[in-house]
Amino acid sequence: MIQFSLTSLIFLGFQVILVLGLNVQFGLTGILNLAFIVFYAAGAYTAGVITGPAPKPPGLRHIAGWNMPFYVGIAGAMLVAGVLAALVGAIALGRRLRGSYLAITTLVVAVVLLSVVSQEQGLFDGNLGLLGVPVPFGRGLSNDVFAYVYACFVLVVVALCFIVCEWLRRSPYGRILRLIREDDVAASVFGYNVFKFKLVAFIFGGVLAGLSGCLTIFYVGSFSPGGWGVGETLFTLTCVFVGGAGSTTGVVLGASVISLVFVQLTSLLPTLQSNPSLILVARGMLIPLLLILVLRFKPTGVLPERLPRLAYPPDRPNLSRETPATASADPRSAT
Amino acid sequence: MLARVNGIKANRVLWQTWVMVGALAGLAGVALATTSGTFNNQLGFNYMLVTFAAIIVGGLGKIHGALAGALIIGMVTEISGYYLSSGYKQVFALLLLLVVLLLRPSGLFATSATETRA
Repeated sequence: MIQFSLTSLIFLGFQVILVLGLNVQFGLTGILNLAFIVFYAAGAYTAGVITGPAPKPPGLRHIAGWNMPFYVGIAGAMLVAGVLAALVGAIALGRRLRGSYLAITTLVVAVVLLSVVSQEQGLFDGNLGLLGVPVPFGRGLSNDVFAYVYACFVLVVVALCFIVCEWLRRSPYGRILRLIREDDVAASVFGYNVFKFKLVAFIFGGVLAGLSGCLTIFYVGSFSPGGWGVGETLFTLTCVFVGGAGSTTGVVLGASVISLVFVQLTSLLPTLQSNPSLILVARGMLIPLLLILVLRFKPTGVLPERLPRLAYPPDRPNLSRETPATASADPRSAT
Repeated sequence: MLARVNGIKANRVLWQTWVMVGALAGLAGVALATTSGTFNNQLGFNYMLVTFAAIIVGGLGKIHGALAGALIIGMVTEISGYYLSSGYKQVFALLLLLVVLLLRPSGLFATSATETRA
């Protein structure tokens, strides 16, 4: 039972980092990025290649394996995910593609990359995926002790990510990102380079996703295309919507509720002999149902975005309470 | 909003469009099922992206554009599947979509490259 709780918490940590990253892209800046999970995969594969064993040609033909220590893997994963995010962002954000066009472009990127990686044997072993990636912190630890140590490690990383995201949200930089979300024409009129701000937010989210992917492959030891379908992006997006897009505590709550209650706790239910996959099917229906209910009855999420107090409040405080988003985006208080 | 001011019942028009879309998609489903002979609940998702690709390549809002777009995407899919591995055939259709979106976001057959606000 303790092992189960620890594993649940560790996986929750991965999901929280993902959700924090997507919240910076979607909740704060308003970029609907359906290729988000690609950066998670990029981090996982990079970490696997850096720290994993070298390929053995007849069966395992992945690109390389360097057996390096895990902190090199973390740094490399974040770097590669950031570079990939910069590339995708430069393509998808550059041509003023908006709304559904941006969503379709990123969705196409996700599907194309998934299709290529799962079929190229020489890249990351195709559908089999990378296997046998060693656990960090040495091999001397028993499984029980390792779970405790790794849970603490993930907790520290999650806390760091949370602090950075909350700081970004409250900072003047975050305020400009919200201004771009609400009205990017206004932002460019005020002289902000909208593309540059969007790209930075995109890369930031991508780096967080890469970090999450790298922690995942360290814990699980393997990673394959089954772990990063388009559905995973939608799951993360569901967490953001349910928790409250734009609110850092909200999305963490959303991820916790969905991961713990709907994914982990339902796996404790007794399975029916006649229909063993019933729980999986029920989970697949309950989470979208939750999303629809939240969008119908509380579209801003369970913990809606609360805007940080302005250092220099606008002249008309009553107006700012009625239309919080535009008031906070007031460029006079941006510096 | 402008339509509503001018006395058009926007919700009703939207609803009628949905009904027509559903009927047309159902017709396509019948055609597909009778041609391929097998059918499962996963089949639709594969077609969704390709359909998006077809209308965007052809140009949104143009009937002949959609026809031409579907033809182009279909030919690209099958020809690239013949010459290269068949697993990659969708990839080429989607790459074509990416190229069109980046170079001419309003579609190949649009009369002018208008702003692509969604």
